[in-house]
Amino acid sequence: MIGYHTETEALVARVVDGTCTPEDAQNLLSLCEADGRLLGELRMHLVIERMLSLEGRGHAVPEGFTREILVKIDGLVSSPEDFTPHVLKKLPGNTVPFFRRIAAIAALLVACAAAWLLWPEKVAEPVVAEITGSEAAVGFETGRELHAGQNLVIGSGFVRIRFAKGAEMILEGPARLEFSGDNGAVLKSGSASVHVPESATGFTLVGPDAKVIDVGTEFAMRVSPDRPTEVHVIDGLILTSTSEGVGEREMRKNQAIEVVDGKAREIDAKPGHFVNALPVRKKDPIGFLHWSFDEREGSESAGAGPGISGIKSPAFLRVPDGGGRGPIHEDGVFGAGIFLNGEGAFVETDFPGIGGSGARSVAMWVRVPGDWQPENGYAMASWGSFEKLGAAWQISVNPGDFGGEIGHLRVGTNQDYVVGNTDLRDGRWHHIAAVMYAGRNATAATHVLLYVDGKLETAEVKSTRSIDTDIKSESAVKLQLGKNLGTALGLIQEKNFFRGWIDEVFVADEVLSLNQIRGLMKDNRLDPQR
Amino acid sequence: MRAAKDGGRSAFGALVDLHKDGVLVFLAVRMHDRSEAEDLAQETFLTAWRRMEEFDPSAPFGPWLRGIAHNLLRNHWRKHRAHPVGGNAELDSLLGAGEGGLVEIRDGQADALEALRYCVEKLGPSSRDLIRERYEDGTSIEELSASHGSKTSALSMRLHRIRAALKTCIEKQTGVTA
Repeated sequence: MIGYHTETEALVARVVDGTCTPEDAQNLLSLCEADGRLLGELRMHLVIERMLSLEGRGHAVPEGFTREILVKIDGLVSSPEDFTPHVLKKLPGNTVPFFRRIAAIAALLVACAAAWLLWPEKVAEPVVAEITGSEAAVGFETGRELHAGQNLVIGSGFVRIRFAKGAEMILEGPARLEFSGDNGAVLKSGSASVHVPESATGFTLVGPDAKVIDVGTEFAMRVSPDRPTEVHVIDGLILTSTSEGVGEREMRKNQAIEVVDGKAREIDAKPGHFVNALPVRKKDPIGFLHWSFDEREGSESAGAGPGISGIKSPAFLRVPDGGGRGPIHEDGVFGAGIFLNGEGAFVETDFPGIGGSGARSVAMWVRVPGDWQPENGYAMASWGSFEKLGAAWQISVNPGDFGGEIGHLRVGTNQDYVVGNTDLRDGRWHHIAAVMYAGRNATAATHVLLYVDGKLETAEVKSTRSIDTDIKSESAVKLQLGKNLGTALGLIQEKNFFRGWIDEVFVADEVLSLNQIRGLMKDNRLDPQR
Repeated sequence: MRAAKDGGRSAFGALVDLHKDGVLVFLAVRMHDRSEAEDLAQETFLTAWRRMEEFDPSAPFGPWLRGIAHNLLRNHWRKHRAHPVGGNAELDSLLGAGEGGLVEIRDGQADALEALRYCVEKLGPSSRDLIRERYEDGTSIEELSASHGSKTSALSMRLHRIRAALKTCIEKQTGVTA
């Protein structure tokens, strides 16, 4: 509200958020009557307030909405069959035999869909794509039609889009994509990986300074405000051109370019950095284990939940090998949690973990002290083995050994790792979750998603070795909390124990969704039936 | 005859499915009470069904449906006014009056909501957390004041600044005045 006194702004603020007095409202009324611009500002703030409220509570139409309307229609005086002739008689050429009328209605419906979806300016634009799935992105319902000229804006998460000619794109937020037609789009920001079947050969993706025409099968593009645009060929063949380049360049599998000053420069291909599949969830009930540490005393914490593959286990609170204090019960987020001192206290279980590249989720509350040091990073939870690359599954506060920002959430698999973008070292409770799902081409490192406080993390660092967690060999360690998996082999001598608080540990054999993770945060429960 | 009956009813059901999200969003951003917006959305479709004879198929269906919602909203405001803005019926009336007003938020409603999501992500962590506490968790200003250890007035102003930042961001994203 440029140009207004702070007191006027405060008045608007109070009226909009409902904390105003009757005098406030009367004062603002007087001001608005004399100042149309202020009235406009007030309107805008009310609209933003209501949009936030709408978004916050989810604006999905209640289940059964359409059914209820149809039931009410059945009870109306005017008979249902009125609808068909009323519409049909106004269609051009009103001599359509009745058996064709249903088809005519269907055509009308398509026109009507285009007419409403994004308001009048866009009504004439055809449907060119639809949303076929999403992960960790709120409000992108499957089946939603997308029109030529429409912009799709994603704050975070992933949205899968199928173009009318068959190309399938996974768009990773934050991103903005404009649909140019049934076989092409303009990527204004964000990352997109595109799988192009034969029917869609010639699919075109245009970036700010690069254009890709796919004549093979799969490629990815990343457009970022602070980095050069990148193009990577995942499989097959593409043709690229750049704003200052000469002609088209052929690029094949495992080739990549970045565009600097409008010209292409070859870089290392990182096809595994682009998510190319969304999780497929199994139909069985979710198997999970839950440790709450609510006993507040003793050296054992009961495990809850239906179990995973028939296995249930308590958590055993262990003292350091050489003596000293074990985990201490203290107040947690829900009831009690435990404090681990970073000097040998840890927790063991009889649960071997989830092996291979099986879907999994680990969620818990953690509190990392402000004076935390990197030697206290490994590990909050772990299982598997450090004998082979990719055979471990360890969730830590990143100590910065290999990359990524120190103090951020990290999942490591022995030389393979993902690091998030939120600093956990603030002495406050944070809810963290690490989920993994298998994807096409089994580039499993791209299929680990990290969440902090119910929000998807933008991975700072990713590497791409396949994950094959070992839970069967002699070197495999069962699920433990607070202890570095590397200690089993004596690999790491100085970063062996986590220091901080842990509460409400959940391990599930499924890719938990954003809503399920937020449900854990709010209600501390997981419904095995979803 | 039976086929005509079934076809008409199910065709209309398909129309409802196509447009229900848009109608609800249109109403909900203009009304204080979400359940009232849902009721009015339902009434919009029932009115459309009753008045289908008036629909000109050479014109787009969306604006016609929106016109019905618009009229129902005006009637609703005239009759009820259960929650006038600031508890002040005159102020509420002033906001709804004129060619502009809350019923005339311009094009790109759905875009604006998507832009809102995007812009919320762009906020700093503490602002984002505050927005989440307020609007997702439904925490009152008073409760937030207590938990944040700040005065109600200060918190109200902080939320106001965040809304202002979001407004600017949405306008940049969509070219739409939200």
